[in-house]
Amino acid sequence: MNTIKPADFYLATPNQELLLKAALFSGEDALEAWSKWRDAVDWEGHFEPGSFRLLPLLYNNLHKHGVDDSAMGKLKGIYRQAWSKNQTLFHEMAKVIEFLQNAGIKTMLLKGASLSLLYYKNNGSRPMADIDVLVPLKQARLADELLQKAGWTSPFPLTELDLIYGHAIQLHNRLDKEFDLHWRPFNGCQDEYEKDFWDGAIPVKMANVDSMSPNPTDMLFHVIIHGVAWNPVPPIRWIADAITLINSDDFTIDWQRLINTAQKHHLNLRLKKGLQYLHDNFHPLIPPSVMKTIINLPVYYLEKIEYRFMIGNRDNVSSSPFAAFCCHLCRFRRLNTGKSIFPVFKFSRSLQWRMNARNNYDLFYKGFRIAVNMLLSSPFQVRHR
Amino acid sequence: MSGNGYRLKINEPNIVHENIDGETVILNLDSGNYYSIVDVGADIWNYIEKGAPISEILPLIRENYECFQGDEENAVDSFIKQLQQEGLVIPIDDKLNASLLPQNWKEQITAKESRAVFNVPVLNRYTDMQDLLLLDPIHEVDATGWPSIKPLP
Repeated sequence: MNTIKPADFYLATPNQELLLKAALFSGEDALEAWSKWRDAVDWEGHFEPGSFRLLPLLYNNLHKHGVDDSAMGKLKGIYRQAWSKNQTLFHEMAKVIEFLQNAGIKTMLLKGASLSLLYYKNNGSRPMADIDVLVPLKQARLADELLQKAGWTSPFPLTELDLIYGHAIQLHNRLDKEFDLHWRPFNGCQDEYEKDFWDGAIPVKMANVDSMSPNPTDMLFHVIIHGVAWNPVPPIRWIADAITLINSDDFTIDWQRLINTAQKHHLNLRLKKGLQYLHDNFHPLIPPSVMKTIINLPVYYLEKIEYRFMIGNRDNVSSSPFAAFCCHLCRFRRLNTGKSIFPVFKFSRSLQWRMNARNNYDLFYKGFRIAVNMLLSSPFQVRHR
Repeated sequence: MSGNGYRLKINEPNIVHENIDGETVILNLDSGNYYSIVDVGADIWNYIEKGAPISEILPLIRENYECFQGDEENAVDSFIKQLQQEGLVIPIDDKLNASLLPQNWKEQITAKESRAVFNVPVLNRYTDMQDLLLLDPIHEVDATGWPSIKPLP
């Protein structure tokens, strides 16, 4: 069997795993993990942000288990604060959703908002910094224009190349509120597969405004491919999100759809790595036959390259332009899957977009500067997309 | 208070609330005010949410709490007025709207297993929400947790 070795990377530190178990497990397993984690953590010191985001969920689980501990007061306060922040965010963003829908633009709430409202069924357990709103690719230009008029702006105006090669833009208003407007569910999602997300979407209500959410299977796919990647804030909450989705009493994962989606998008490796990690460490309810099928999924060479850079630490800035180039190449290839000849001209255009180059000469100049800077370990800063 | 059938309802959608381990937290999304109520206050909120007529709230409190001093009527009345003044609950006057409320409110309210001593209900209000949301909920709060700020040494 083509087995994966999770030991070749880590997705959570041992302490983070204890916290996750305390927040997600039931009975003695949860209490034992809580006891160990509580003794290991320095409450007065700096709290690592990835773990901090899990504390409302931890409170919820400990409360269910009747835990009586001196830390419960502060944990309850963290839960109250997360609940208040989420409610404020939902209230603000419901106006944006309503505004778009009144203009005939369909919306879908990706990531935290839908997870919180539909899958956690709790407005405090799943903190989020902002809201991600997906609109259909064909309506993205209109949505952006209307939002600009309504005071939602971006430092980088939305271009045609953004729509072709990008997937989202961050918008903010005068009150410093911000949200991410997506026109693809994730980076590198092919145009013809975008409709799969919409066709399978299910209703969700945010602050009394109707919108759509990815169905549990698409949500799980989204959570895993975003989670199995390096992030300056350790993204361990994807583990809690995925376990919550898989173990939900109210929703069922369509495993065949999950596998088909990963295959369509050439994201088998990230799905494998993510699910095997969950399976080995958190024992979610994944049928053994499904696990076997997923482990045996073929992995394309480009996926391996992309994966290598996706989990690599980008704090090492001297390697980041090279990693960014490789990831860009993989995403470009994914966007153009099914085309027998590699579209060199399009790739050059996509690189121009990626590096904010005016033309091929500018692209060459910027590429040269990056190479020199890498050699001198003082890299040229590329625009993050 | 008004007549027998007089009812109140939560002023949704601008008022959101949740019961967290016996404490009811309430957020006024328009004003940004945050409120917290416990014990008798949380029960009164619960009765209003379930659609109990105002005239039934005092008997419910008397049924569920040991009331010794006889001032419970004024305390409950005053607390409900405060909820209205803060815009957290609003009256339902006409029969049409009242018919939209749950008619089986009695079935939704469970009697307490043991009667606690009646304490005057208090509506705790925090008005500087934007600042409170920026607080570090571990290091800048007291042992009861956010939003109670740690006293200065």
